[in-house]
Amino acid sequence: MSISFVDKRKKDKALPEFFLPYIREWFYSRFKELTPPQQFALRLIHQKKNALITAPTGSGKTLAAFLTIINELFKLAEKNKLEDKIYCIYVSPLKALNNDVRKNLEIPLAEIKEIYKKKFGKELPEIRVAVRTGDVLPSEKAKQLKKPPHILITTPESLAIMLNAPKFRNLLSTVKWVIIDEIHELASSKRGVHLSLSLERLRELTKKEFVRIGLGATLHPLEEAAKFLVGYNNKGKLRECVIVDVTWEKGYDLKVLCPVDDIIHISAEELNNAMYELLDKLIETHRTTLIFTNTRSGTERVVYHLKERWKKKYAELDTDSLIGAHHGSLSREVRLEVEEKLKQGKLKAVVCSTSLELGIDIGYVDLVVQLGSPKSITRAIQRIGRSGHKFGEIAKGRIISLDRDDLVETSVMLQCALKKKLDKFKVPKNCLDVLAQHIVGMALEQKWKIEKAFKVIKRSYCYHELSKEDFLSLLRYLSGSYVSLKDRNVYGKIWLDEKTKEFGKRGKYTRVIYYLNLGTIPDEVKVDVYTIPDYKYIGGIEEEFLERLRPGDIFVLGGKLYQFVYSRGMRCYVKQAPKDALPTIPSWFSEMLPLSFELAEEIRKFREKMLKKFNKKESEEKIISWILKNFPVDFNTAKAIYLYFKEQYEFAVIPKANEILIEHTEDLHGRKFLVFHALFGRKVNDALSRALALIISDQISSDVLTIISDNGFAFLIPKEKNVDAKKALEKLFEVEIEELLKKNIRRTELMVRRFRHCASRSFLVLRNYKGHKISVAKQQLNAQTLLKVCEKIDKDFPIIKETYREILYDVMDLENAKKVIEELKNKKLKIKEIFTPLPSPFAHNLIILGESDVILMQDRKKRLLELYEAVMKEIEKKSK
Amino acid sequence: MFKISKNLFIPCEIQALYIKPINTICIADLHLGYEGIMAEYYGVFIPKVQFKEEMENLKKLLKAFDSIPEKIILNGDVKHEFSETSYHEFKEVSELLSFLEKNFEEIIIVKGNHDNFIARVTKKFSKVKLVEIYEEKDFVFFHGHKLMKSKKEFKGKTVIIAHEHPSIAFYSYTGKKEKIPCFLYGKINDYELCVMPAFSTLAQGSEINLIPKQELLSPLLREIDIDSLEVILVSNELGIKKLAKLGDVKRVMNYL
Repeated sequence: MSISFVDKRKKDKALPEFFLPYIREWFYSRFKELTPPQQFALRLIHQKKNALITAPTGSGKTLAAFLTIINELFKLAEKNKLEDKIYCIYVSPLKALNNDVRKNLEIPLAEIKEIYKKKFGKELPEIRVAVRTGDVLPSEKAKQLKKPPHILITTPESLAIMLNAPKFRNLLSTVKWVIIDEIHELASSKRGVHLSLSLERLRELTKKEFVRIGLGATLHPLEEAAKFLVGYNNKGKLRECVIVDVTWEKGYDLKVLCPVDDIIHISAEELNNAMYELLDKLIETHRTTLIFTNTRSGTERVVYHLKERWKKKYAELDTDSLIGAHHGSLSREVRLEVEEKLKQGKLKAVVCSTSLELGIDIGYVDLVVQLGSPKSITRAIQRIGRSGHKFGEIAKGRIISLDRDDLVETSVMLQCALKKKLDKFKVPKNCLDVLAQHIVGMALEQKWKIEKAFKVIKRSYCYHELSKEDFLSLLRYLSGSYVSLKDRNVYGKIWLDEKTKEFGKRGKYTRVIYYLNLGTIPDEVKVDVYTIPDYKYIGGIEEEFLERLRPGDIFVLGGKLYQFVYSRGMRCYVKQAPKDALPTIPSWFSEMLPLSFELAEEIRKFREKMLKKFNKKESEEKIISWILKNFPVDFNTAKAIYLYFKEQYEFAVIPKANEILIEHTEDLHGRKFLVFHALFGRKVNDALSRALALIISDQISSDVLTIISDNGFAFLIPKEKNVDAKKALEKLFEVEIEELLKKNIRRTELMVRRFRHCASRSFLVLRNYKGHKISVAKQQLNAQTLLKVCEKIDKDFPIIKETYREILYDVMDLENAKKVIEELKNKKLKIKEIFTPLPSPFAHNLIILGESDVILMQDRKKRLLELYEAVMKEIEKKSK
Repeated sequence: MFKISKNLFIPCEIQALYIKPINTICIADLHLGYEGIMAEYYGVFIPKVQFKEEMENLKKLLKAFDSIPEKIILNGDVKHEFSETSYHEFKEVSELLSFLEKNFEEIIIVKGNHDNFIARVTKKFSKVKLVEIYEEKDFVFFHGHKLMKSKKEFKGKTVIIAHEHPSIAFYSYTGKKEKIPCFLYGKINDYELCVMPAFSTLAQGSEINLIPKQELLSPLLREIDIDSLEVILVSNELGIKKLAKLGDVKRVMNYL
């Protein structure tokens, strides 16, 4: 087997025999014993085996990766065979941490050298470490060329640049080890895809295999991450890799908490009070608490309230506050200061959105609190794994939920976590935009035989299944085959000779274009929102949010409701929402991570288990104690879940695991809804609901508004219209869903924005050109024209193809959506249709989804309560 | 032919105007060389398709006439922008003018804001006349980026401008957006006004039903009540369709 798991029985109890005595002395002067990753990794790396090491942060895995390498370098130094070459490259997506990594290497290197000197009275040659990223000064880079570091620390983007730096690239030819950090982030993103190709290009340069070491938090399936790390060899066989997953050596103490015993009959204010009381109690009884909030606005709010409520305790002096906020919108200085204070143990609590999920060593944290659902089991484990600093200590995590759907979701999530059942991640495959970049980079290096280049590219796991046609069409596009010969000097980035089957560089600006436009992260700016017709500026939204808007969508900005009309460049135009309008999309929608398909399935199974208990007429006590016994939850949670299901059961139906419940209903304002209780996660529901919206609007010849959540989706249907839902679903079996969706998204914001990203990754729309930066607004307008023209030339233009792929398979989850349709078709999934006078409890959150904004928290709660009471009245009527 | 008014007609489903009393065709905003400029100056590599499309459209336009009129007016922005370096950019303009000389007796180019260097090409063509503003009988043609005359002088005349590239944007709840070029026509006080859509198949225009008035490009349009103008759509797919007054279009489409 090419990919294997380490034999956990064969662990090193002490530093292995191959370590030099003075390194051994240094190690034991610093550490008592090996940590779990070190017990396996040191020997594997010594045996020149590729290794994927996953463990929580603070487990000594970085040292596990470096220590053997350091040992080898000292052996060379001793024999005076240490050359002025780069031996090891360390790549991390977090540029900000690179200097920390350098320090963490330089100190031990100096200390080891010192021990040697004391022992043998001789000075060893210095083992040099250097950082090379976009932030490093040219003078420093020039120095590195003269005196290359033995260990080079860099980012994926800078590595790609180095591969094309005429002189510096020669220094890379001696690399023996490559360490990839934060592999759980990279393996699922285009940045990682980009890196995977850089590694194969590096492999061309070294002319022989180097040892690959991947580090990160755990993920599932690990084999997939290992394949991403190592790729295939020239014979088309997977390279070998040994997986060391020591995530579970740590114990996990997990629990879902609900701050009140009745989550329904309580005002938003009381509920909030109870939540903060609980939070305060948790912070009080622990040394340092790390709190995750999912959104940036949530982070600010929680910090504000904690300080407001307990001024004396947490914020007596404003400058010396004991609570810090940390999220992506804060300046780097502020974030660094909070990190520093956290490391020094000067804070009681840090509140963050997602920013402290990975990377930096955060020092001593003994409790992680998650407010609301983190939406994935893997993420819950990664976050909670940040507590319990040392190995052997237990990671303690508490999830506080204030909403019944959330309570169900997080209870099932933590149960899965305890059973080590994680959700799946996906490696993006055959991304043509990233590949375009590398082809240009490769052409700048040398002349290539098409066949040879194709072979190199296919070594990457992300491109192993790349078709020859796609590769050729990309080469043709890059050579400017779509313009006349004389224009190819401007348009073409490479020349292509299909007769000799070769390609190479073209254009005097290409090298500069490559350096200045390389990378996979699109330019981002705020989108300004204006009202029409009075043209008043009302605020900014993230482009990611704009991307999700469909004309007619209603959202909250600055406490008011607006209806989206259109956008142009980086401006968004809205009008005042009609009276009594209901928001269709919450402002945090784009920040909120989607529920994973696997967890959704577990929740569906849980629903069915509950249904069986009600069918068997089990008593309240019995059901509650079953929940308490089988799920890591407190009593309040168990009771809230019980009541939630009981009401759903009595009022309507609890859907089974293999059932989509379709509910025809009206809300209290007489608005007609068609609710699909389709618990598949938002990415799948996005695809399903778009297709169904098209089919339904066709059926009733009228537009329908859509609301999407992780638990299902709902259509707002004009009062006088009736939808044949079954027929609509069956229509799904007949249509080619991929084509239908393509047609649907073609003219949406999502398409035009994502096309800009893909076009800019493939150097069709440049961000930097001839000495000036091109504004994002301009890029956007240009990309729109470009899209129009490219479509005319060729519907399957590589970059258009990639844009659809990114939207359908990365943004949405068409793969699983197709699975759902297939199962509906062969009746593995069944449809149940019901008519209710009011939305059933399971539909409540969906129907008022758009209102789940902070500003409207009070109103939302009121609306929920209204709905709830109306439902209870119905139940009473029935039982009479 | 679609009749806009007593004197003005749209010959076929192409963004062109026929002015009957003076037996003249008028097209505007060709923006030749758009892609080259975008590639060379702005780093966006739009394949060159426009010239071919515009030439095809021209031929289609001529076919709409039993006998081709003697005169054609190009109401501004024949060329997108002139770059110093790319001489082949001139080739397209030359080719166009050669084609026109073969088919017309008189070619009048009204200068637009992008036409600074066009004289370099036009001087080689004997039938081509380059002017800032063109007047014949009761018809006044100017590009529209500047107000060429005081509005008092428009009295009783028909003013024909371009520059704005007007189009109507349609949206639906399922998220589709369509942009269709249109003519704007109507009586303003004591003169008639006709705003022409662009002949260019690429250059961005104003989505006239959405854009706030102060963001319009033409100074003339910013000053008048454009909501009172009739909207006439012209597109390949849709044909020629009279919509309504712009103000009503905005109201009905429920955007404002």
